[in-house]
Amino acid sequence: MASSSLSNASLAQIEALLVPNAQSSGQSSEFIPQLYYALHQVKKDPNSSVNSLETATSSIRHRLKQCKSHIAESEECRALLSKTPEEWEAALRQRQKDLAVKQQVFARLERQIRDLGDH
Amino acid sequence: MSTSTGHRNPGPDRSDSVENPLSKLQVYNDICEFEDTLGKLVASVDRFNPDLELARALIEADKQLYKSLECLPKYDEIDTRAKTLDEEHRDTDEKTIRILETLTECGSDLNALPMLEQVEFERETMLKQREKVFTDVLLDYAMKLAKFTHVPPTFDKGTVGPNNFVWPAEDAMRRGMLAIASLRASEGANAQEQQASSEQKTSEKSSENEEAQTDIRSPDTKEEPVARRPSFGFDGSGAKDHESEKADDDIDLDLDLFNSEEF
Repeated sequence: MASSSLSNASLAQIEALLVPNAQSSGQSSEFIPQLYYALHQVKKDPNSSVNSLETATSSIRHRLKQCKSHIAESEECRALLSKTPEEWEAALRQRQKDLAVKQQVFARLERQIRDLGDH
Repeated sequence: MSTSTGHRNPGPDRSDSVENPLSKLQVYNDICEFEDTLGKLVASVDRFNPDLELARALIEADKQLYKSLECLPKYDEIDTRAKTLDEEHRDTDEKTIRILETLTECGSDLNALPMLEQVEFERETMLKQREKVFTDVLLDYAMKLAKFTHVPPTFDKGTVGPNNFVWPAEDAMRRGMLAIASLRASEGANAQEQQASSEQKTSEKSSENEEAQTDIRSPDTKEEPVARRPSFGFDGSGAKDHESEKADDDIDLDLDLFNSEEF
C-alpha cells in the first residue's frame, strides 16, 4: 500500500484499495494491465486450469468488494460521497453564510453592550 | 472454466435492493459497474467466447471509476473545510450558549433590583416630605424668634401695605365690624325703648323723688359721650351712642387680630 496524501481516513482507505500505487499511476488503474496480463496467460495456455481468468481476477474483485463494504459501513464516507463536489461547494457556502450571520449577531450584541456601558 | 456461471449476476445487484442509499454514491456505482462488467467479461472468456464489447465497456467503466477516484482529493479538501466550519459552528454555538446564560443571569439580577421609576418616585416623595414644614413647628419657631427680634432697620415698611395682604385691610375690617355693631345697636335701642315705656307706667308715682337723683347723675352721663372717641361719629341719640359704645368695646377685642405695626 502506498502512502496516501488524503487526510480523511475513509477516503484514504478507498484510495488505498483501488489505487494502491496512486503516486506513480497515470490516468488508468492497474486493473487493466492486470487483466491484460491475465488474458495473455489464458491465451498462452487456454486449457490450463491455473490460468483461469476467474482466478486471475479474483484479487481485483476482492478489492472491489472490500471497497464497497468499506463505503457501505462508513457513515462518514457515505455522507461525504453522497453529494457532488459542486453540491458540497454550495453547501459550504451556505454554512459560511450562516457562520457570518452568527458573527454579525455577536458583533451587534457586543456593540449594544458597549453602548449600554458608555451610557 | 465454466464454473463462473454463478457470477453472471455479481454482488452489486443483490446489495442494491438492501443498500438503496448507496446507489446515490457515484464511486459506489462506478465500482458496481466495473465489477458487473468484469464479471460478464470473465464469464464470456471462460466460455471461450470473449466479447470485445464487454472489454470496451470494462475499459470505459475503468475510466469512469478512476475519474471518480480523481475527485477524492477534492472530497478530502471539502471534508477538511467542512470539519473546520463545523468546528467554528460548534464554537459559535457554545459561545452563544454562554452569552445567553450570562444574559439570563444578568436579566434575573436586574429583575431582582428595584425599578428606576420606583426609586425616583420614592426619592421624590421623601424630598417633598422633607420640604414640608408643619404649621405648628413654624409658628413655634416664629414665636421664639419674635421675642428676640424686630423689623430690620433697613426694611422699608412702605413696600408692604394693606394692598399686598391676602386679607382685607384693617380699616375695612373695622368698618365692617362697626357696621355690624351699628345694626346690633339699633336693635338693642328699640328693645330698650319698649322696655322703658313699660317701666315708665309703673314708675310714674315715684318719678318725682327720683328726678332729683337723675339731675345729680345727669352731668356724669352727659360727660360719657364727651369721653368717647371723637373719631366715630354717628347720627343718633345719646342712648344710641351709649349702646354703640358697648358694642364697640366688644368689637375692639376682636379687632386686635392684626397689628400693622409689626410689619
